[in-house]
Amino acid sequence: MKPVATCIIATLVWLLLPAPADAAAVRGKVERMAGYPAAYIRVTLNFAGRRTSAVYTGSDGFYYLPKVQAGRCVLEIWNAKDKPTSFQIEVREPSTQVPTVRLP
Amino acid sequence: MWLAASAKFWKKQLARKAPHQSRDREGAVGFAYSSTLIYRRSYVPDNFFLVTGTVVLLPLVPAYILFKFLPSEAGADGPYSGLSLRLKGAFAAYFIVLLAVMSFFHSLPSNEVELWTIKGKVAALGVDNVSDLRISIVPDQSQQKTPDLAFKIRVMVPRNAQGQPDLPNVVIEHPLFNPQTIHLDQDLPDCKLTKAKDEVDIAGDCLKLSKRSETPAFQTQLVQLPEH
Repeated sequence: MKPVATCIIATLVWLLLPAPADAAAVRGKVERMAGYPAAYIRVTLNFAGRRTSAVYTGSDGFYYLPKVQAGRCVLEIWNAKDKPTSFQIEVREPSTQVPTVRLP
Repeated sequence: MWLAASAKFWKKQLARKAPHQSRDREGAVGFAYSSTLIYRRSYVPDNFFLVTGTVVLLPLVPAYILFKFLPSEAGADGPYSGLSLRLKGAFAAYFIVLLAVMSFFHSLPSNEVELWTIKGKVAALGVDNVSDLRISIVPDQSQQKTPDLAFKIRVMVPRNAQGQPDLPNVVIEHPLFNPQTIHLDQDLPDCKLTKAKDEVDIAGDCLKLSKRSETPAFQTQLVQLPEH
């Protein structure tokens, strides 16, 4: 009986714990090798197979991903339509600056 | 008399519409490195078949009723579009009502917006990423912005393989703010999209821009991963 009660209490505690808040933001810039900004490029983050909603770089090449979770993830720059250029990055709260990515 | 008046009105309407429907304008435009641009306007109303069907079929109803219950030898004659017409019985009634309905539809105000296609081919050596090529319309009449930052954009929306509208994404930019992407084909928690037949109303926090922060952020390392 005791192990069952322990399990129930543990489950309740786990359910009542607040979900990890997506409180981090990631920003960066995408450029071409020639040095000019790469505009309207799709950018996503991939947390172990869970991909965030895509954002697009502005006309100045900057992108901004608000409300993402902290931790290690893969930054995906969709230069080609179905195959991203991927980078391992670490996201920390409250904001993380990614070095400029240069695309061919 | 009435027939002649209707015919005159209808001819005037046709004469006014005809140049818009048939005219194509072609010519070369010299911008930086352009080749030939072709301007072409197409004029196809959204409800073309509905209107045409109504115009042709609607007059049948009064014509049938009149000659079913009040048979007569009434007729109509007079000149129409260079022809001398002499019509009798139900067909005369049909023809008169047809002219009346056509006159009514063509007296309705026409659409303020027309669909034009601008085609061309840019010649620029060394451009290998077509996504970097940005072509703008100045002034951009597809967008209306008001001082209170409200906006209205008219876009052409193609249909996908399932026949559903393939809505684009909206990217909002300002030099002092972070760029914001709004996916019109997704329902996001912060974004309230009210979709009608051909209109999307964006509400909620997704139009709230965040200021570009000057405070130092955590500088992450960038490690490129091998391509799969």
